[in-house]
Amino acid sequence: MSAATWQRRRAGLRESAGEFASYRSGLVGAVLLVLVVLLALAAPPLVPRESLAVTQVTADRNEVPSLAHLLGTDSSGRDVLGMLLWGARASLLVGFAATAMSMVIGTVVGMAAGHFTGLTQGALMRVIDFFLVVPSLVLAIVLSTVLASGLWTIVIAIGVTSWASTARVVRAQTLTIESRAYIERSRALGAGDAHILGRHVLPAVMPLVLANTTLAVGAAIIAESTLAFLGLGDPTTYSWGSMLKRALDTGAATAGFWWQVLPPGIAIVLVVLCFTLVGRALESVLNPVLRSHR
Amino acid sequence: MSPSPALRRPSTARPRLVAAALAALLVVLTALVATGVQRPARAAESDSDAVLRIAYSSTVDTFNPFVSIYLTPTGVNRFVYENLVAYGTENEATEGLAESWDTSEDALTWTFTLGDDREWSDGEPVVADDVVFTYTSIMENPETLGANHGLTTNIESVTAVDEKTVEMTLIEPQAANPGFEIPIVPAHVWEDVDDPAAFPADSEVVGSGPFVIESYDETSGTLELVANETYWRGAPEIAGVRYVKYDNVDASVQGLRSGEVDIVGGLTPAQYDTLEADGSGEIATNAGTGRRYLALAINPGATTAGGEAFGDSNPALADPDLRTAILMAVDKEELVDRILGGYGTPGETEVPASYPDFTGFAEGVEPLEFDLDGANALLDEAGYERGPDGTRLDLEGNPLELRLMGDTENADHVQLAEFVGEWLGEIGIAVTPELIGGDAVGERSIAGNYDMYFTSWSLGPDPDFQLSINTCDARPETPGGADNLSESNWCSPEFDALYAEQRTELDPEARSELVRESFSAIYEARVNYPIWYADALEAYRSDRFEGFTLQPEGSGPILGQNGYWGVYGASEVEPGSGGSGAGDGVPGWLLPVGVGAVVLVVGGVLLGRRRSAGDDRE
Repeated sequence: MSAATWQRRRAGLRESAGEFASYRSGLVGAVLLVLVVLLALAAPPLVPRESLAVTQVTADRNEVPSLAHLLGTDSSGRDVLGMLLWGARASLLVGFAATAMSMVIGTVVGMAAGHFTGLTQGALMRVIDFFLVVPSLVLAIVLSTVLASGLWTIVIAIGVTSWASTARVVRAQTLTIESRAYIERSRALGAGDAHILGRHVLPAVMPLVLANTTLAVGAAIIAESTLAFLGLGDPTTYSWGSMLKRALDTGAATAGFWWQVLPPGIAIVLVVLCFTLVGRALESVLNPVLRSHR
Repeated sequence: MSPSPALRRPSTARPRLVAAALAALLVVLTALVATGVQRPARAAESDSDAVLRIAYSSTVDTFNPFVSIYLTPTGVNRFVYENLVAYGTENEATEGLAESWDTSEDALTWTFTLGDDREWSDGEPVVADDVVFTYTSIMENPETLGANHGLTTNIESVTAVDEKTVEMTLIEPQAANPGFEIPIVPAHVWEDVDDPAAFPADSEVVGSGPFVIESYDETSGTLELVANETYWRGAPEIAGVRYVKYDNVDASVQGLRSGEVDIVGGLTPAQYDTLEADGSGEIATNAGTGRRYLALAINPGATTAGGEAFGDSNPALADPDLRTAILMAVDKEELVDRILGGYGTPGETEVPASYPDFTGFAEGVEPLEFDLDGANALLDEAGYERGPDGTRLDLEGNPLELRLMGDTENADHVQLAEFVGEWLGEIGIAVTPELIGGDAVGERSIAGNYDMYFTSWSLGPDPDFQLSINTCDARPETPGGADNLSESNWCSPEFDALYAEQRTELDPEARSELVRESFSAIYEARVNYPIWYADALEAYRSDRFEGFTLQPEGSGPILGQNGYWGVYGASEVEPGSGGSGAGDGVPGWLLPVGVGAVVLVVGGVLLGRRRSAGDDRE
């Protein structure tokens, strides 16, 4: 690839970044997200896993927040703040992994459905329609019941069920790209399907996919918490959803142990909100339809 | 940034889409709230006639006494159908339909004399034919009417000597009274039923107990029972009992606080402590000694009755030393303290402390003590060397990795899995928790597909049944067959001999000792290790009802008894005072539901916006 192309892309990136920075809400979301990710990464040194071992803890069960335990302790005497940090790892991991999976499937299927015609397109579109119509939470519940319980099952359950809307968006973008003259030109020069899809369509849909991804992570985190809350995850791993489930199962609602319920709940809301803010800003910057000032 | 004309459509469409998404969410939310906090419709102001409302959240299969095996309906049927011989308030044998019974010299013939005052709720007298009909129906149709078939396997025949005398001939002598635990049905009603196995028996039921079923609404789960005016011990003081279904105990606790129900069982320690500290003076609590044990079962390698191995247990577990070491790493006191909050008793044998005649070890049995060093030493000695990562290797040289199965819906199991997993880690055994649905746990334990799992069982006053499911005969005919009744997939000829001996021992004291020896044999086989006998934690509206009879008296539970005493003894505190209970403070369930709602709304806005950005683009 020529230096000119790179230069052009770098310039484009810089322009987009500058534009993104002009969306204050998006910026706030991005800063908070970086903070959460850093905290999640720093969880092992900050709160050693041994300190959350139920057989090692010395604190009482259900202690109210104090200086020693800023967010109190849970029904086994573990520090809720520590679990919150560890839970961020699971929630973010599932959020990112499931989204990556859903994006890959969605992009590939969407591009194929836009590029090919006839029977292939018809078949792909019906598959997409199927996944659009089936309530994804129900499908995810069925999947995670059938598969062995665990974090990766949840990743698969979310990833497999949430790609359809991405595929529709990508397909639409593929259609508009492919109607452009330069595609026709390269076709006339003898370019095959692989070349057109890989060299021309993919780079053109990528920005859209990126914006979509940021939005999808939030949805995946909610889905993870929902599934864990419904008891479909592995309840012995720390995640925000399983913290909520544990609190309810042990009667925290009746007993009024708010410090076991509010922190994971608020954490979910906050992180999802951040992803939404970032995603919305990115979408406005990158989506040609929403880009109103050009 | 004024939008160009081409962009108007999406921008005007957006609010509508968001609104649609939010509306859809609202539906979802309402459904969620409705399922989480199901508030049953209250029957039109019937409070004044003192109906005791019992909250429940467990499954109902059927109220047909020949078929039902679930806890709630079999418990209800204890109110509806008197047994030939009942369990008294101290779990002793006492008058039921029979006012007296006699055993022949060889203990093979039991003669029961029915009381003259025993009547069905429709006014017909209870006669010997009713008993004969009930027993022979079960014995002749073990497949279809066999919920209680296990209790009749030693009965040769049941005959009516005269209208009020029943004679039972046994195959071999038996210590347990054959009149226990079988609900007697009215022959004059059931004879006319075409397909007794499919008969729902849930409306206008004719019974002989203190209450009879009036109606059952399957959709809402509400069950109405009315007092049986012809009940031979005297009609109950209250007018009836209503079972009100809640989807979880938290919701039923709120129901109790707001006066929607009068009694709630199955509380968690946190709920119990909160209700106990309740200063309103409207709610009283009861921590009754439970009749249920919770144990850690270890699969020693399941076999069929023919001795064929099946299941996927880790073959290393066939070694008793390994099983002993595992159990030495379980600190029962700590678990009772930290999970049950002290509301329980550390387990010994399978018989809970509430049955003094049979609980405890036989003489000379050494209970296992929690001892991590000892467990490590035992494993070292047995040749389980530590691998490079600290995990021990089995005798074949493979890492010792064991699965620990439990019910994901059971908070006790989830917490136990964490404790046991960490302790076993300290003795070099890697544990993979497998918390799955309750039905799946049942299926896999029957199929022998487990290494270790948490199991619990409620025991009746007579231990014969519990022992019978540990005999070699309880094993299935075919590998993993549904006829696998074996509690621990374990078989020992010595145990079978003890079992047979206690079964025919008619001297109560000698039998007690034999029963203890039998249960101690299970304990020493290290296949089923009772961790605790949890207390039954209950709370009730003391401003409305009093006089519940506990079983055992003074220490037992109100609900879930071996009989009807708790509810039968209830009386109203102040007739007609019910009224609308004052809700105190913010209902606790609002908190999690609120957080959930916020999460969903944020998610919904997000989804709605995604749609809005994406949909109109093609």
